[in-house]
Amino acid sequence: MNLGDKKREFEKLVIAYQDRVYALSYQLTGNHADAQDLAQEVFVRAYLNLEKFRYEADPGTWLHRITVNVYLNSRRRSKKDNIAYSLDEPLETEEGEVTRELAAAGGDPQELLDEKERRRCLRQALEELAPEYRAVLVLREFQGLSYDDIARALGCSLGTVKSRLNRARQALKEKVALLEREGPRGAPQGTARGAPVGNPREGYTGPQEGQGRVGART
Amino acid sequence: MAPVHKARGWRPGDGGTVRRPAPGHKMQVANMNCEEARELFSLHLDNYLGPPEEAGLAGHLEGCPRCREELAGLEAALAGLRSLPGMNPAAPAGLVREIMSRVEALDGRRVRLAAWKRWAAAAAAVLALASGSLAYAARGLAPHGWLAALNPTSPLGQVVPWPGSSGRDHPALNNKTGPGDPGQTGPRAVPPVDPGTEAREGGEGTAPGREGDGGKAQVGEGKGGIPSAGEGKSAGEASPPGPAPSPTKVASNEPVSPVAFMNKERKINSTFLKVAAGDLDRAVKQAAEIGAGFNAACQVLAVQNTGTEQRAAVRFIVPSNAAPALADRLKQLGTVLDERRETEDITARFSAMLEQYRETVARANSARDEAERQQLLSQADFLEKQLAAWDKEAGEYIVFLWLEKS
Repeated sequence: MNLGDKKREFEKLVIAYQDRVYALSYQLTGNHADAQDLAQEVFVRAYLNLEKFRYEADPGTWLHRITVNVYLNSRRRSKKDNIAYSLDEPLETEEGEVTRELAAAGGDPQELLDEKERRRCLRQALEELAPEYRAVLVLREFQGLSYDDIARALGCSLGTVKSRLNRARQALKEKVALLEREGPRGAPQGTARGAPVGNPREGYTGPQEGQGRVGART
Repeated sequence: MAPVHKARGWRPGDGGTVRRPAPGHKMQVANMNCEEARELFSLHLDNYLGPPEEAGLAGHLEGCPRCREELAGLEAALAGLRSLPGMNPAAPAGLVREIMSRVEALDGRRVRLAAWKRWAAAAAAVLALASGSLAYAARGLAPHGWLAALNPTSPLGQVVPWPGSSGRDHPALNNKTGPGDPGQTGPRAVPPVDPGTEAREGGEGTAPGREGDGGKAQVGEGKGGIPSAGEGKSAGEASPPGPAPSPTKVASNEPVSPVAFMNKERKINSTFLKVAAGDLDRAVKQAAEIGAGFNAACQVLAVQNTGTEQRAAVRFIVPSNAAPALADRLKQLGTVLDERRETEDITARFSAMLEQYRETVARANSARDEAERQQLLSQADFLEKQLAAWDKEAGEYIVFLWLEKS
């Protein structure tokens, strides 16, 4: 296959899997700027290893593996892991800009506030999980991968997946509970990763949900 | 594909206590404690438990309100996580275009780099031939690809050793050449190892002298290793001017001993620098001066002038600890276009060449025809020089400077 054919074939792969890879990238990194960087890096590495891909039964699994590996490696290299889920940031899609409106939990304003707060806690809890935990949770909860596929994506054993997923879920639950106890001003969105959950910064009255992307990569 | 999560109802009960299992404790399905039960929560929610474990967990939950609460909290947290809006965004517009432009740039860079490395390899091959192995090449024994580097029709353009140097150092670079230099390549080129000493010092080489061949194995006066390939024109070209490296003249039919090389791991560490400079000649001279300042062996491998492009390749061999500073100084010669560090493990190649070298010496010693013997000795000489160069380079650091006119 000449270079031109290789590129054309690869472009088809990118088009077919861009949404999947991008969604996973976003779920892992928590913001669109990093997700775009990660997705690009994933496909570039895929291109460089296209020959190996030919031996893969499912390109999706292969791309999952690359995505998680690139993500974990970048997080290991980076001492600070600033990410933040900014779900209200407008999103450019092929169909134009889309603003994600949070679904109303009910007509009661207090319910809406509670729901908003709960989502903030969930996002922050996910954000503060160790990258390995976040990866396994994302693959299971958002990507819906089986345990076997997660093991392949992470390059670990089935037993490791089982124990890691259980620990990740427990850790998420505990963090959510802690954040909910602390209340809305406990640790606002955009907190640097690794900041102790139980040690909110005094006097902080920073942005709450929906105030744009913070936590640019370091 | 959405994960399947099991809904579960709870029966009232109380009395749960947390008992920590002892290390190595095997989970008892029939009567599990809280910790054991919680280890199963995730598998339970994903329907990965077998009937015995499910029954055991259900039995525990029935009597343990705290674990029921834990499990309910876990389910709620995961349900909330899955329902977070916006977690499955579509790829943004232009992602494919961005990726493909990166791929295009990457391919272009790889092609350029490959061309650079091919030229550098050709230049090095020219040098190797010119610096000590012309006899070898002249006898038609050089690998075809090496001589192809001299072919003007090469798509990379003609590669020419530095004018007047026959592949040896540029005059400006003769900063350390001294008596006894075997005329190999640079001022710090490896002198032939004295088989009379190295072999006795634990090297793996052995003297293949055979009693039946006259038993007059002489390896000269301490230098030279394999004798040069006779006194023909080619051998003469391979020798440098000035003090002779004193290769031992071995009389015909006298067996020779291969030079000993230690059997050890060998890695060559190198940095490739590609620098664009306005005045190429001046940059080459400055590079030589910089190298001298670092006590480095400098060597102009070749220059190339295609009419539209001018290039030069210079190699420095320095102690590892001096390499970064040398590279930093060389970068100041112009605009740095590329920089790469590489480590090449040559252990296997060294061993293979060493084997070939010994075999060649043995064949030379057993050759009945004098012409054949000289030819084999010439081959061995070439191999020995390459082995010596690798042996030297593996202990030091190579900075390879590619200069091109900007």
